[in-house]
Amino acid sequence: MEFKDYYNILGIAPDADPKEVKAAYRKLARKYHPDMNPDEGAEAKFKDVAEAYQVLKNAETRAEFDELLKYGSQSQHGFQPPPGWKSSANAGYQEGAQFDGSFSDFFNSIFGGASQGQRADDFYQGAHRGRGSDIEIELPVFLEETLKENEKSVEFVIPADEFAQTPTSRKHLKVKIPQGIMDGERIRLRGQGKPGYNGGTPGDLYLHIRVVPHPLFDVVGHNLTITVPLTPWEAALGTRVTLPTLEGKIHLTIPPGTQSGDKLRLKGKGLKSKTVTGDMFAVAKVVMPENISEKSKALWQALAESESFDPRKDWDTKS
Amino acid sequence: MSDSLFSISFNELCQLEGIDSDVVIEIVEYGIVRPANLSRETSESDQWLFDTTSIRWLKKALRLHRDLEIDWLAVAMVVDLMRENEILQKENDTYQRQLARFIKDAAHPE
Repeated sequence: MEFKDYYNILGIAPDADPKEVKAAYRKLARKYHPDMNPDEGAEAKFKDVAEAYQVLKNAETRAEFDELLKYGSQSQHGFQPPPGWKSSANAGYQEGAQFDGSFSDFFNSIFGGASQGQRADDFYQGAHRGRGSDIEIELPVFLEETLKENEKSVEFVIPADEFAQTPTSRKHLKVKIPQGIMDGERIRLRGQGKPGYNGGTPGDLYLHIRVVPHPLFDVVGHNLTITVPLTPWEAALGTRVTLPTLEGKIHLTIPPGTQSGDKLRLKGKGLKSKTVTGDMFAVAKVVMPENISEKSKALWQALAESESFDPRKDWDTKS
Repeated sequence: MSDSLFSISFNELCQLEGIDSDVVIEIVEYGIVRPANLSRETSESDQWLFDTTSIRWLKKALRLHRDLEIDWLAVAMVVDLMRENEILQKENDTYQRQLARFIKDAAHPE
């Protein structure tokens, strides 16, 4: 087992006063708290910092740690508590413990009782020990799948848990995804999280819905937007286009004189839930052909000569 | 097949997550989360239902309060800002995607 120098973890001297301990913890907690810092590794660092503070903020456990520090820093081949070691300071842990994960083996061997380790959330949750942790995973859902109720297979990993004494395992579930599910919603599956320990109930599984971006459609609430590329002459003269929707094709009339960015509303062709049916908006985008033939060039030239339209007439650039 | 749930009741929340009922009431009083069915008829806390999104914010609020030792008023402000930031981020992603359909190299400017 690795010896953890809690003073080092908090970046303070072994003779630091309680105020300095608290200040060091606050600074590091602010920096590494997983809710404030999404970086990989931040959570592990926070766990170390919380564990160090847990021990050093209490005079009794700090004194015990100081004793071990003299002993532990001399051992070359991994740390073992002194024979017959038993912490008398467990009473100091009943409330206000930081972090709801599990503390290190080192912590448990010293302060938790080596044979029946306690986890940090026991200290916090008191009577509720034994329940497994909740797990949250992301579940990608295609836009088409949101139109009606769907059954999806979900495979996920349950991390090993030393308290429930379960190894890492894979779980396979069939889940009902209701019609009209939206990006960011969470589905709760009771009892499908981490197993409990000492006869406790398992935690829940939360599926965080991620609607996969669609190559054609953008989603705003229950509405969909599709960009409709048009030739300049289609935009000028109007046309009829065949438009893909999530449920087959429809015909759309583009009126003459359509501008880039003009929106046409197709009622009821958006996303559907039990209570709401969204619309689809077709947004025109005028596109120039990439290669212009000599013949086309002559036609554009003729148009240029016959038209007096100036799209930049508001600019004050004439000198 | 497991039942797909979208809410958790007040009692279940306190029991399962080991949260003190007074703490949940305090979190609701500060407006950090709002029961999905809050009305004059459901003013008693044991009738409350929380949606799964609120659960996430509630747990976040608990962690911030406990780990960073900040009071509930400050937690309420932090959670509000985090929530707003998430909404803006999502809106921004949508606009970037739409813009990229019109303007070359518009997506994800460095």
